[in-house]
Amino acid sequence: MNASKTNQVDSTYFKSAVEFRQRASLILEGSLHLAASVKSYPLAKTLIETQVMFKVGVLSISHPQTIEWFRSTMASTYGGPEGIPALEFRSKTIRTPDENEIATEDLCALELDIERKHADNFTRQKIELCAKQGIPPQIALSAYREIWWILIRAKNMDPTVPAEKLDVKPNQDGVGITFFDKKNLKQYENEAEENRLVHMFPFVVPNVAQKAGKLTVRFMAPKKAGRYKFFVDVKSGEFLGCDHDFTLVADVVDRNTVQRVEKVPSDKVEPTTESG
Amino acid sequence: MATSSALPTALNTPTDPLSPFNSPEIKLDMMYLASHFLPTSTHYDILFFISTVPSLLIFAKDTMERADQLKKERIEFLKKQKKEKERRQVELTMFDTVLNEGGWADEDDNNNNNAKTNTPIDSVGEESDDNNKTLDSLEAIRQAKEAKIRAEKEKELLAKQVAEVTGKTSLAENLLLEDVDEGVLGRKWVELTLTQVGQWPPICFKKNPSLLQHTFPLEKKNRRHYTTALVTAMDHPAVMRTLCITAGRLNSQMLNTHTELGKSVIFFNVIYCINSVLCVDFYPLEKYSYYSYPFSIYFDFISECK
Repeated sequence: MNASKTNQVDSTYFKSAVEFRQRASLILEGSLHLAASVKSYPLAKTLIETQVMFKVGVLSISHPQTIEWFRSTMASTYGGPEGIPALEFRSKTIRTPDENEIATEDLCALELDIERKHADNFTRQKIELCAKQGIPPQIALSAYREIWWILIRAKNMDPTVPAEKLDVKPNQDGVGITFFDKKNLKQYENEAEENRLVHMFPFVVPNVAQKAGKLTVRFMAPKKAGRYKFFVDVKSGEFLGCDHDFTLVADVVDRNTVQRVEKVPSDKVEPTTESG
Repeated sequence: MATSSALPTALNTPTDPLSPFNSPEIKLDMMYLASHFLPTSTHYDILFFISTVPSLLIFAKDTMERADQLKKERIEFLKKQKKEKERRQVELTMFDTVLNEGGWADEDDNNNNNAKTNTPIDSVGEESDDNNKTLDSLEAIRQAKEAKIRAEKEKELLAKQVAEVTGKTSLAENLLLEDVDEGVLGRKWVELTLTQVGQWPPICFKKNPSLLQHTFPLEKKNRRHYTTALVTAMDHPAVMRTLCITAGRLNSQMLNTHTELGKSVIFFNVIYCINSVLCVDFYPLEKYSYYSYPFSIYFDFISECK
């Protein structure tokens, strides 16, 4: 075969491969709903990682050689080690906004002050590329999208307190739990407490130049009072080797033991954004 | 940057009535995935099940049927083209023979014979007239031949223009296909290359042999009826196609830099980058410069530009 000399490829295969990949990516993205509906941390984590493997085109998400290849490629493309995608957390807290404590079933929040270390290099490279190609940078910049996933789990630090039961309800449009049969659901119900998602949230960086920002992820506090260890995973939906995980400890008090001023619940929460 | 929305989870309560999850096709896919995903599923298990969701198998089956159809058309087209080429070659050879040998052998020979038998040999003037006549007829043949070639070319051009305007341009004329056209790389090449590096048959089977026992419905045509049989992944053409594409995706770095494809990739890359702003469906612009996207993306784009 001498396709390299003649530039000949069979488009009936390769063209359909492109369409297949687009469809498969959408299904992969959609399947995250399934993991979220059964609150399965292992499944959600594996799904996000699979998405990255499929997007980047690698055989492993964690193989040192693959990570090294990815990092060196990023560094050479984006002007050095600062071009390797990385998030730095200036502060990490879990609290109930406007309250002194976290009470059971509160709408509490994980607040992260994040710095995107690669923002400058990415922006510079993008603008340079546009200049080379004679494309207005605004067009290319507006197409930018960087996804990070926040996965939150909670474990009561008192081993005598039994784990909460898996509480799943059908969704309005049939996504999620209704797709599982009883037999399958059982496997998720039997999962350890620390493998159960409290919340799963994607945050998208639509501006490549954004250097820093405050991220607020709202989630329901545990139903039982006690001292909790919150496991937080920040996983990239695009890049290899730049995921973070950390734990935060917080006390959750019984709602009945604290006095709260009734507030009108609101679904709309003002975004707290900050551009660099 | 961003803030999450309502409880219990943003993903768990989609309220958009236009959600793609309302489509029966996607619901079927999700049901299939929900019945196979486990908390212990590995990356390869997930890729196997994603690659074999009902909608993707239907898609693969359709594209395979279309590819088979195109292959038949292409073979037919090439046969016709070959015949036409041979016919023209014969005609040109005959024409050359006529011109080189001084006329259409049979007729002229007969004429000459007639002339020889019916006309006195010493009749020089008449012989000269005959020669002139022969030259005239040769000239007429030449002109007729040229006119014929011209007419054929015009006819071909017109047919081509009409086909283009009416959208009936045969893909078979332009497409290059593996196994039909020499040196064309396609699925077989991908499978062969993956086999050489131990990535084919799909490594998900090595990692989880239970996937080999998984069965899929396959429609088979008997004399009169269609019957559906349950077959394993290895025996299901559409499954193997989707698994091949997935394996190609995961090995794109190796495939892209393969020597047999090297030049093509560079060519496609250049074309793609020039036009990349139009590709909003894929990934941010700069990623094409570092991600090892398979050449197919580039190829796809070129075909759209045509």
